[in-house]
Amino acid sequence: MAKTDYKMPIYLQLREIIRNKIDDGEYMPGTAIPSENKLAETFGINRITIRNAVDALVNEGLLRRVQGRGVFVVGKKNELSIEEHAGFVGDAIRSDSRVSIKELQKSEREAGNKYANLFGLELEDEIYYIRQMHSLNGVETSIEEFFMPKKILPSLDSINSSVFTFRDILSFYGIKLEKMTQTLRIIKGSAKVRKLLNVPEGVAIFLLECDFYNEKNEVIAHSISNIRSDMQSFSVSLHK
Amino acid sequence: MNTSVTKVQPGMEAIEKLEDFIKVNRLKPHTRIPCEKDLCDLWGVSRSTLRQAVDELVENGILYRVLNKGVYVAEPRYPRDMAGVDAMVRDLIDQGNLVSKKILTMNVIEANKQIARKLQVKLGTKVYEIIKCRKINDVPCTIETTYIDAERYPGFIDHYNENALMEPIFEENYDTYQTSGTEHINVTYATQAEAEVLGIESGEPLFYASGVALDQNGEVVMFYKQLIRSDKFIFVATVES
Repeated sequence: MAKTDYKMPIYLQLREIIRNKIDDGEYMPGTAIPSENKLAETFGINRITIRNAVDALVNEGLLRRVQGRGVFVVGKKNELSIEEHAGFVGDAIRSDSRVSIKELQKSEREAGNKYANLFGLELEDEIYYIRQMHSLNGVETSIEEFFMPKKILPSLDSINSSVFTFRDILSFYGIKLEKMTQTLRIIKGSAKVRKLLNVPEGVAIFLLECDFYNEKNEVIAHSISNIRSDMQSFSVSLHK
Repeated sequence: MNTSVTKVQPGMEAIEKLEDFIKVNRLKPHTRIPCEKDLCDLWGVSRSTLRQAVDELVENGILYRVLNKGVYVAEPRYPRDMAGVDAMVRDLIDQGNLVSKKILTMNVIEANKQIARKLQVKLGTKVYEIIKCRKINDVPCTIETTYIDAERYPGFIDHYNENALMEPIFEENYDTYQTSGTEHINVTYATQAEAEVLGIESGEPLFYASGVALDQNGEVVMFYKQLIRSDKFIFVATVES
């Protein structure tokens, strides 16, 4: 029997213990958690280790430190189903009244090397470029960039990208969206993006990139989202 | 609003050219890219624009810098399919990676509120808690904690060891097939202890994937939490319409 005699020491689990107390409602949103001194006393752990665990949860966005007042529970983070992330506005986002979308830029540009190769175009072929800022409860949460060959939808310029979802728009034109592939990475992010999103020091960014395919297995659009990781998380349903 | 054809911002153009350069030339990991001056001449961009583009790709983990030497292509990150942990292990092995694991702890504990809720058992039910570290090509990459109802799956840990996979144990001994589940993907930051196990700096961001797996009857098989190095992995998914 491969049972080990090693018992997980409490200091290893402290971050998870605090997380569970938030999950279980013992630490309620809007209330302060016990002071570092109190936690150190309760668990018999030094304050540096306590600080370490609390810092992690602050950076995750579950707790917020208020100068001179203590550490408060923020409450549940916004969770987005990854299947519903669909270009500049997913269905889930559009129906969420807490989300507001601001179109920062909509233009036509030359494909250039990267997008000529991705979309199978000539360098100087035109593509649409849309850039949006998404806010959650008035807090700027993500920057969404969207790329699409002009030949796919000749009149995207007259469609309000902050009202219709990408699926809607494709269906207006009878284009079938066959599948999308997504990659999610955790990055530090460029200084420019961090500044635009007011990302606190120590907080990472989710970089979600998505390729959209038609039934001929051609890439018909590409999106890049820089998302504050302390404001948003993801869920996935698995089926075999 | 009418759109107008605009010139691509030089900064964005430089980033795209650089990304494309790596891809089209199929640059292998740890290949040095041409020096700043050569790339500036090649693309007709200014030194500061190019430097910012390089910075951005360094921050995004596509390139890395070695002081006084140059800029190199980073190792690609391993794909962690959103289809779950076992799929990840199989894929990694298929791609020729050496995957091994070390069991850190394996205990019988009493379910606390969270575990009881996730496993849908009564508070205080005996559950197995298995904590392991997975290495890929000898580099520690994940710390995984799994909770399994010990009353429903008696003797599970007698079958489990560092050379075993969980899924076949469930299938062969308990007639349990994991058919669905829900996973939550979040971020957390390594504590000192986790950092030591993973060989990284404390405070580095990690993926925090947690979820439950359900069997053919829709009953909970396990509750798991997986900490995954974000410098080694990306999450990938294919969504069919």
